[in-house]
Amino acid sequence: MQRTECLAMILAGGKGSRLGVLTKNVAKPAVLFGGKYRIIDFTLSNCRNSGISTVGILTQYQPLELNWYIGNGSSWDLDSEHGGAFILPPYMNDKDSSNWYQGTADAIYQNLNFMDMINPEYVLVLSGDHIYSMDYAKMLAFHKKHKAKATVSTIQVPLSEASRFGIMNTDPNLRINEFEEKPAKPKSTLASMGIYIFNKEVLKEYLIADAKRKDSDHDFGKNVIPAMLNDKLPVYAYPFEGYWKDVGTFESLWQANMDLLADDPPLSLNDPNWRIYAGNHSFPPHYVGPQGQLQSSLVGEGAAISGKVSHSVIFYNVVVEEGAKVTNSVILPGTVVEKGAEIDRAIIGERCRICAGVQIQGTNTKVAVYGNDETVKAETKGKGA
Amino acid sequence: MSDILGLINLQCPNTMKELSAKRPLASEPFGAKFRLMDFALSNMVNAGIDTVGLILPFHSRSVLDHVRSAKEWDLARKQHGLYYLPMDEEDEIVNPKEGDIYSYYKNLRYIEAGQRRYLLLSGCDVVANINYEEVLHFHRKHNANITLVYKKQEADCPGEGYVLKTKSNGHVTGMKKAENVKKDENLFLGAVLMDSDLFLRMIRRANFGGKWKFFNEVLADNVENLRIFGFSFKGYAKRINSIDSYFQSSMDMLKLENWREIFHQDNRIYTKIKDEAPAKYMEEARVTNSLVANGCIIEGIVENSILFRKVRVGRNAVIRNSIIMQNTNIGEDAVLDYVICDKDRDIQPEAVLEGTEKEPLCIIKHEVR
Repeated sequence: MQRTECLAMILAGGKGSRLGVLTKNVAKPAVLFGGKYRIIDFTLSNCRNSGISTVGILTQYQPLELNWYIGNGSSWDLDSEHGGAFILPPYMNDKDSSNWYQGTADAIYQNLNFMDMINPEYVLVLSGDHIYSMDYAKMLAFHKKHKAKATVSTIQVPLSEASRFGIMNTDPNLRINEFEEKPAKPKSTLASMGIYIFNKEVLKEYLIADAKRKDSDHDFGKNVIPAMLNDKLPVYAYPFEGYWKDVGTFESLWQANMDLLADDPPLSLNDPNWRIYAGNHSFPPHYVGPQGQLQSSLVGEGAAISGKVSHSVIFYNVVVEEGAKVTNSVILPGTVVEKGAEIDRAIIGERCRICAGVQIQGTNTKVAVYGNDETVKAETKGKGA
Repeated sequence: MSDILGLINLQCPNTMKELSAKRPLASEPFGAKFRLMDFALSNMVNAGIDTVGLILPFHSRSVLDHVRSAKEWDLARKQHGLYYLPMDEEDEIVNPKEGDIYSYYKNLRYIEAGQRRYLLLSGCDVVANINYEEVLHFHRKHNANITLVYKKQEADCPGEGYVLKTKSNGHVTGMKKAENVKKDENLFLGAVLMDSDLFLRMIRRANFGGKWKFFNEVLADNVENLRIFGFSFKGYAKRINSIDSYFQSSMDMLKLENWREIFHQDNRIYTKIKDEAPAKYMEEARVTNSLVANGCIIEGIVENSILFRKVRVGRNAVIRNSIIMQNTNIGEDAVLDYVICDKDRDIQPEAVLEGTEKEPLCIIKHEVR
């Protein structure tokens, strides 16, 4: 068996509390996106497209649907002899009754034996919560070129948002000399994307040390990277340019969906050289009825569109009946929008029934949201989050 | 383990030479995403059949490329699963193309090794979502030796076909080849359920007896001495035996009830996965009464048409009453009416291509002489 050069560890335990009803039964990485995908598809496809064939997926919160979705990883070509997709739930060991992952670093620490089993030279730590296309092979080449012990992928953010991120200062060669997690007064706009490459042995050493510290939050940004900088290790900032979104709120999730609808979107789903893979369901091509109208929209398989759809993302198996109107909205799989119903600026969950005549109206700053399996009648309206 | 062994003969003669000279009928694209062979294969899998043999046509590249490990049909198994049954090079000379007995004879080993009580034999030229479990119940209920699936024709169906004469209980009392199948006649859909042992005996005997055709030289001769029953299939079923029937059946899928029955019921039709993005409608798109597959990007006008995966429709282009196969690019301002366009074509901007309902214009990959 060939040796795995770089092992990817995807942190997919995120609760995504701010996504309320949409993460009631699923972890945030399993939230649906873009007419066909789940958020984690982007990270998994990046791995596959970057030539990384061994991926550990660390699950925790509401793992059932995510585990089912990932299966053996075959949808992302990860079911190979010299690689694979490994679901890594928190361990139950003898010492503690429960070892719920305490932080990002602790999650990796608890899987040190998995890392030793794969025994890669480098470990790529990823988050399963982000929507972006990125070639990790370029970042790895950067890491090797600078003989770094750790590399943090970074992106420029607006100053107004910088205090939401880990912010760093670098020297002209991009070596990091300061890292502040969520600073109140950010000194730069170079933000961490929560993507790290470590030399495996170095990572192991620091994770073991961190685990012993009672005062640590066991977090990469707050504890591990600062500890490495403190010891003057060569830690570099890899400059990523491109579309990258952390869809933590209804509005950002909605906006990221809307971003796909531009004629030339910042994130392409149609790049033949960078395919986004997803689980498949064998639904037929979608049907557009004689009265159907579709503009500036994405429509998934198995949908039947007989009404008017504009500037919206329609998932697989959605039915939009005659006279119904869907505008600026995201409709998740299996939902039926009945005759004459009108939806504007909303995210509607899976298998909902939006009854005839219902009007749902959100705004750009407060998108209307309904969870899965809801029946929305004219009089019960307003149950949404 | 299923009681039924599946066998699909992909050597149906291609009656749509206008579309492609070499592609076997089994590989003809249908329904914006599928290939004709998907129906036979998926119907078997949906009946719980776990072992299916594919008798390959002579030009089998497109079949192999499509089916590969048969993972999409859940037939990539450690035991059982899909078996490719290729012909040998010399068989093309030995075997007159209109006969199928020799093809079965060459593959009797597959049926013997399968060790199942029943054999389900099917062709690959019918568009239908057939529940073969019902056929098996019917077969058992009548204690039949052989059950043939047929569809009572709702209209005249030009072109030759095999028709069955049945009593009201389904007992087949006669069968013949008809030059043109008429309204109310029972058109045989190419699916036969029978005892595996009986099939083995029949094929051995027929091959030594110098017979070529299973239906008219073997089955028809046994009408009186065997219990042969006809299962009347009530759903949508159309046999593809010409450009005309291909075009009509394709357009039938634009009726919501047909689309739902064929593609969108519990028993699905499976096909090769391509991982294309959801279809994208641009601001200027105007699409009505059409089927649109993933990977399409549409800027023009599309009416009464079928767009396969990864079709691009340029700005102001107009497509009406047409079938555009995968990965074809329709240039800006092009106008297509009653056109069947093969895959991987590039229609130039401003092109005007018009066929008629009776004679759709076929745009194909030309071979250079």
